[in-house]
Amino acid sequence: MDKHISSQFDAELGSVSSRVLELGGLVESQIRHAVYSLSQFSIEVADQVIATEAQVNSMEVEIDRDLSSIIARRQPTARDLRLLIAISKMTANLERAGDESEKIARMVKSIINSGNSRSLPASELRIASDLASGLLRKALDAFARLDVTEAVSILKEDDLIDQEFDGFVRKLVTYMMEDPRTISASLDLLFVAKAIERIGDHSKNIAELIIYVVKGADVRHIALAEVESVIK
Amino acid sequence: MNTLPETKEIILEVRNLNFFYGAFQGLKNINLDIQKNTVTAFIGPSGCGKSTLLRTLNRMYDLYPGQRAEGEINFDGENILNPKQDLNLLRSRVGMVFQKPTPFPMSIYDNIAFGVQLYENLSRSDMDDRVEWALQKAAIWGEVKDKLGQSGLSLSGGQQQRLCIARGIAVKPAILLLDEPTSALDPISTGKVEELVHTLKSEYTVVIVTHNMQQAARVSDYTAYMYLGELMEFGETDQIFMKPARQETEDYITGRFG
Amino acid sequence: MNVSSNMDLSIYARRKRSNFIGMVLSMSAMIIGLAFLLWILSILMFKGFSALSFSMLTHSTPAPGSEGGGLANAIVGSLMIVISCSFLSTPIGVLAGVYLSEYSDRSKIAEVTRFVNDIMLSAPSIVIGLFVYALIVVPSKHFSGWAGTIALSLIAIPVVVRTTENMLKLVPVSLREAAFALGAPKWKVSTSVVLKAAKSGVMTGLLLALARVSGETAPLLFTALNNQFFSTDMNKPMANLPVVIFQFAMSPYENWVSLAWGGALLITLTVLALNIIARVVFREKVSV
Repeated sequence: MDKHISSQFDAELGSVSSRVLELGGLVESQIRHAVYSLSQFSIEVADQVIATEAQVNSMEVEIDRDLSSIIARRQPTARDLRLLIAISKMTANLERAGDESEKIARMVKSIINSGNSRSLPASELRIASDLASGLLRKALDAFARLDVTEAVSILKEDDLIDQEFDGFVRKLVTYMMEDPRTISASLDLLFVAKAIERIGDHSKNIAELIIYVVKGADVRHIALAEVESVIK
Repeated sequence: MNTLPETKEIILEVRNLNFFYGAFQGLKNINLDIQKNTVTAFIGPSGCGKSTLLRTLNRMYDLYPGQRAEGEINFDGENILNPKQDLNLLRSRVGMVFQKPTPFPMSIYDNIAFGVQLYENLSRSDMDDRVEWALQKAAIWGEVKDKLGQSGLSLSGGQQQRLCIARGIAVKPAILLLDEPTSALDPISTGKVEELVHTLKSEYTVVIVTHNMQQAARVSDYTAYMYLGELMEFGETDQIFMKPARQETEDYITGRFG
Repeated sequence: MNVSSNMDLSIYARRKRSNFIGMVLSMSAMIIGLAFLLWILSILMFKGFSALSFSMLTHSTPAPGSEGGGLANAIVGSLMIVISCSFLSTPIGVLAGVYLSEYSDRSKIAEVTRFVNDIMLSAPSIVIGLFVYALIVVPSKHFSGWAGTIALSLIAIPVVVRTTENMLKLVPVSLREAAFALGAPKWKVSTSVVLKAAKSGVMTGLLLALARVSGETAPLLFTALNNQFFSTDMNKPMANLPVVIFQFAMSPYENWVSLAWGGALLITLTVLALNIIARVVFREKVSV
């Protein structure tokens, strides 16, 4: 990408971009730990996830403050403006993804404390959760490279997560019907599944933002088939 | 996004400054501090006194009878408003670049050497080095290095203004005053001059007057908003442009000025 | 031509008519002025051309009645007087102009100086000649080339002062401020920057002043007088073209009359050359 005449402007954009990718990395590790705490039923790891939340929140505030400062002082236009708007929304998405991970950790602790953990099909969630954290990784990579092709494939993959979620809900329902004592823990697990599905959505949002920055097209609320024709 | 220097050092203090054009009072009780190695911008609508204030800092108003200043401006431990102040010496330490590019009617080399020769006795090769250094710093060396003997008037507008800036920094002043330096330039030349101001900050202190407040936002560390001869607000640029303390400042900046 | 719907055609037609009349009148005035100028030049060329020859440059003025002769002594004498005049009036005139423009501008002294200068500008040249006669020629008891130089300088200096001051005033204030802003003292700003910037205008003024004085007759009549013979001694009466023309033009001798016309043509060509030089060589460089 070409440099601005003002090297200071380039430095500021670079700085805020790296910061948001740093936030992304932090949230991604939060998700992986949350999933791990679920599969291993580990309270320590769950607590770690909850502790990271404070850092994620303060980074969100800091990045938004920097963004306001850049917009106030640089009056960015065109691609620069789209990039800054995208970073702002991406930060919000990442912070929510972090919130979802924290919810997962809290649910895990609740499930463990209820004592019914062993009998639940938690491992069934494995596929979806791996997909979700992997998808966020991909989204962050694609954002760093502003890769539109990758962004489109991310949109497609999110559909998979949604399908997995639907399948898991059906399984859980049969479980609950078989043994009503597991309902409480199952509901907790349902919330976990929902959180994972939401994390997938946030990655999808990030992919949409990539398309917005590069192509200038807002593809939210557009069906996937249309998206490919819009960005040509 | 903090580009301010590590330690705060005040290089210029303005205290209770009042300025008169004959009977008309152009500046009313101005108090502010200029910090070393920073860029301070004066903004405000036409006639607010920003150029007037700038021109008191190097006593340029002294050229015109009927204009007088009262109060104190402390630079380097001395009040420069003192009638005994050596004006030529002051101006060699507080330089100024004007709105309209004004190359002298001599070669590019002589343009730069003119100011240096006034106060320093350099050998030919030392002067060559100084000229090259100044032109490099002004980001114009590449464009003129093969035609130093040509008249300064043969350059384009943007180049002429960068030549004037090179001329100003060649004498290594402590403070550089810029009076709307890019008003007469196209956007690309303006961008180059703004980038230049940013690089000058590490060695000089810059005070810039601009009627383009977006330029002040881009370029400065501190901003002073003036209106009708009064200093309405003075603070860090970030703060002034995101959350000004006074309603008047916010009105001006957001264009709600009536 | 399409006229807009609310234009009153009669007013428009009337304006077109008065525009046309105005143009016709001004063109006629110009043609009349030019016609006279061309008439003078052509008569000069016609009558003076025949006198132009190599011998005009090598022989001195002939004695009454003698044949041939030339204008060598007059040419050399005029050159010497005018050149000495330029050496005298240039520094005085330019420095006075610098003083008036840069140093005193609105002071009482400046006002008075300008007033006196303007009077001198329009002083009759014969009065100047008489003045120098009374002041220098009478006490020294002889006419001289130096007296002539002084008389011509008294005419040239006001012109130089006026044009120098005007040219310096045309230099924009911003250039002066830029020089002061570097800490330059006033004299340096005035000479190295302002005077340099006005250089071509000032030179033009100088050349035009010289062109003016090279044709003045009256002052030289009372000061340098004339000299029949070739002489380069400025302390003695000096031959010069205007006085020679004065003497020869109305004389009965044919060669004298012819030489007078030749001299007149020579002076005219010199003035023309000086004007052209002033315009072409010292033309302001157009900045990009």
